[in-house]
Amino acid sequence: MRPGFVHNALVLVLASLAAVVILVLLLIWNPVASSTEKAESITVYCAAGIRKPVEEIAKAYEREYGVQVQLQYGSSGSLLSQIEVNPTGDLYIPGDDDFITPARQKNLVREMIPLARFSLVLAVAPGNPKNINGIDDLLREDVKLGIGNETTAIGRKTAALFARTGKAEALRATVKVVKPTVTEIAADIQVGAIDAGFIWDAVAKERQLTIVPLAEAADAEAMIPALVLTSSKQPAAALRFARYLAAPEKGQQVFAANHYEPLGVEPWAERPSITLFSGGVNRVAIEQTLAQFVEREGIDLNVVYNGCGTLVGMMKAGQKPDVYFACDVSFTHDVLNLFNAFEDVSSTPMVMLVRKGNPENIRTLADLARPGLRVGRADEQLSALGALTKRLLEAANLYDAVSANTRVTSPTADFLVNQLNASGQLDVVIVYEANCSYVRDSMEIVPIDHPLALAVQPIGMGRETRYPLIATRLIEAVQSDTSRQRFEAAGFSFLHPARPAETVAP
Amino acid sequence: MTQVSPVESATVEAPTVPHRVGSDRPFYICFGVIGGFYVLLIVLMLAADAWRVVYDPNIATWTSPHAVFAALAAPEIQYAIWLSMISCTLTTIFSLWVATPIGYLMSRHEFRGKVIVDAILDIPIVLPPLVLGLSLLILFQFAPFRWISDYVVYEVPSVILAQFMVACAFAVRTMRTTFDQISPRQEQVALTLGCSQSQAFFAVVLPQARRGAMTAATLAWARSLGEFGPILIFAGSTRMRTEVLPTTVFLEMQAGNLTGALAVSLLMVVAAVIVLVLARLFGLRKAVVR
Repeated sequence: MRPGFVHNALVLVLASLAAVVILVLLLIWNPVASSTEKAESITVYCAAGIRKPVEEIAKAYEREYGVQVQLQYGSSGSLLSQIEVNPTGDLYIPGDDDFITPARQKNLVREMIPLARFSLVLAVAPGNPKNINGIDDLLREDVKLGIGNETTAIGRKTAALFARTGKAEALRATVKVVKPTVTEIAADIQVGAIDAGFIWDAVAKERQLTIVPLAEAADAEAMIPALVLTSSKQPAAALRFARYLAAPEKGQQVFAANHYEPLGVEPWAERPSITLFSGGVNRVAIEQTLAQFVEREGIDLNVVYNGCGTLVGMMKAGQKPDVYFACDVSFTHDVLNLFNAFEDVSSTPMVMLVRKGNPENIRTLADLARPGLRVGRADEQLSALGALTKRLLEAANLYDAVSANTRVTSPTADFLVNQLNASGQLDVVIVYEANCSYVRDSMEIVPIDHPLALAVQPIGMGRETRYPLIATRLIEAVQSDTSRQRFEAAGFSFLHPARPAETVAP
Repeated sequence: MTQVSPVESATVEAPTVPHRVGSDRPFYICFGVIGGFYVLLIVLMLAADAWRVVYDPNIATWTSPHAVFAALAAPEIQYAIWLSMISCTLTTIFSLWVATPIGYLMSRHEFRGKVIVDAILDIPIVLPPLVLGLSLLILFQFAPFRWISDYVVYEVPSVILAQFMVACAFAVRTMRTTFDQISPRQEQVALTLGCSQSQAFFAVVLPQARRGAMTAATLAWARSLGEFGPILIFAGSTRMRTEVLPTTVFLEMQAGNLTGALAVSLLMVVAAVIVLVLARLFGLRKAVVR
C-alpha cells in the first residue's frame, strides 16, 4: 500500500497545482470585466509637411499592434475644413499650433498632445558663400531673399519675425520671391536661385543648408500637436496612437531623426497606469467621472480611496500617487513637497444632521447646547472635520456647552452618519453635507449659518508622475462642467470656475 | 455517554452510599441554552441587518427589492464577488502549501531560535491591518520586490498577497495544533519499517491531518474573505480590478449608503456560508470514504 500512499500525495500536490492554474486562468479571463476596445483602424488627418516622420511611425505602429493607420494628407487648413464639413476620423495632426485655436473654437477637437517643435531659421547655401550673418545683411543689394506665402504657417511666422525686427518695410521690399511651400524655398537656395530664405530648421538640416543664427528668430517656433477629434468614435484608440507618436522611445525617435525637436515626455505603454489617491468623502462625486475618463483614455487608473489621514501616512511611507484629491486643504500641508500646486475643486459646508421631521427642533448651532441633547462629533485629533468643528464651536462660544452634550466622538464623518442612521442613541451629528447624499430622504439637514463651517477639497498632480499629460487631463476631467453637476448632486459646491470659452480672435 | 467505563469503575472504590446517576437533562439544557444564546445572537444580528436593508425606520419606508437587486446586479459588485471568491480560494491553497511544512516543523522539531520563529509567525495576526498594508507597500519599494512592483502593487496579485499574509498565519496555527495532536508513534513505526521521512509524512501523517487541514483551509478562506484593511492600502480600491466585497462594504459605508453596505455584507455572508458548508461536506465525505 505504501507506493499507493505516496502516489496519493503526488496526486494531492498536482491537484492543488492544477487548481491554482485554473484559478489564475479564471482571474485573467475575467468574464465580468468589459472587454477592452480593440480598434482595427484609425483615421489620421496629417499635414503634408510632416508626412515623412508620421508615415514612418504609423508603419511601425501597424507592425507592432496590428492597427491599421489610415493617413490622409493635405495642408493643415484644408484638412481642418475637411473635418468641419465631414466630421469623421480620429486624429488631426496640423503642421503647427496655430490651428489649435480655430479647431477648438469650432469644437472639432478635444485632447491635445504635443509631438515636436521646430523653429523658423534663416537658411543659406552650404558654407554661407555670401557671408550673411544677420538681418541687416539681408538688406544688401547682392542678397536675394525668399520667403513663404502669408497664407501658410511659414509665411505668417516670417511676417511676425519681420515685425519684431522693426525693419519690416525694408525687408519686405527686398524680398526677391514669395513661394507657397517651405520645400520650394529650400530647393531655390540649393540651386542658387536665391541666396537666403526663411524656412523651418528641420528642412534646413535635412537639406544640409547652413543656418544663420538670428537673435530675432529666438521665439519663432512652431509646435506640432496631435489632436483627438471630437467626432472620433474610438477616442481611446486615437489617444493610444497619439501617445505612441509622443513616446520618447517610439515616435519621438523618428521625429528627432527627422531633425525635429521632440516634445514627448510620457513613456510608452499600451495601457499606461496611473494612481489616484482620493479622500473617501469625494468618491460619490468623482466615481462616474473617473469611469468615463478611463473609458475614453484607454488607461488603467488605480484608485485608492481612504481617510485622508491614512493617505497622508501612505505618502509619507513613500507612495507617490500621480494625482491626489484631498478631503480638506489641511491634508495637503504635510505632503506639499510631493505635488505641484494644488487647486481647490470643491467645498462642502458643515451641517447638522438630524432625524426626519427634526423631532428635537434643532435650528441653530446654539440649540446644540440645550441640556439633554445627544450630540455626535468628529474627533478633534483624528479628523479635519473634528478640528473644524472645534474651531467653529469655539468661535460661537459654544464649545464647553456642546462638549457636555457630546455623546460620542468618531474618527470620521461617515461613522457619524451611520451611527445616527443605525441607532437611536443620538439626536444630532455635525458632518459635511457631502456625507449626507445617501441619507437625504431619510434624514434632515439643518444648515449652519457660520463662515467657519466649511471644508475645501483641493486636487494636485504628483511632481514625479511619469504621465503629466494624462494626470493633467484627469484633473481637468474632475474640474469639468460635467463633473460640476455630479459634485453639486453629491452636496458639494463646485469652486473651479467653468473654463471660459476661448475668446474668438477678431 | 451515560455508561461508566469499566476501567473507571474498577479503579474507584465502591462508595458506601450507592451512587445514583441523576438525569442528564439539566446538563444539556444548561449547555444548550448557553450555546443557543450565541447562535441566536448571530442569527438575530443578520436578521436585523436584513430587516434594515428592506425597511428604513427613520422614514418608515420599505426599500424596493428591485433597488436592492439592481445594486447587487451591478457589474462592479459582480466583479467584486468573482474576485473575492477566486482570490480567497487561491490564498487558501497557497496558505496550505506554506502552513503544512511550517506547522509540521514547528510541531515535530526542536531547533535553536524556535521561540523567536514562533513569535514571528504570530506577527501578521497581531499587526493592525492598516500597518500590514503599509508595510507591504514599503517592502515593495526595495529590490528585489521593486522590480515586480508594477505587476503587484495596486494590481490583482496584491489582493492575494495581502490576504495571504494574514490567512497563512491562521493556517499555520491550525496546522501546528493538528500535527501536535497526531501521535508521532505511527510515523516512527513507519520509519522503522523502512519509510523515508517524506514517505512517512505523506503516507502516515498527512492523511491523519486531513481534518485539521480542512479546518485550516476554511479558516484561511473565511479570514481572507473578510480582509480589507491591508487590501485598501496595498491594492487600492479600483473598481473592476482590485475591489473585493469588503472594500465595497467599506466604501459604501464611507459614502453613508447604509442599505447598500448591508446588502453587500449579507451577500458576502450567504456566499461564505454556501462555500464553507460545501467545503465541509466535501472534505468530510472524502474523509469518510478513505
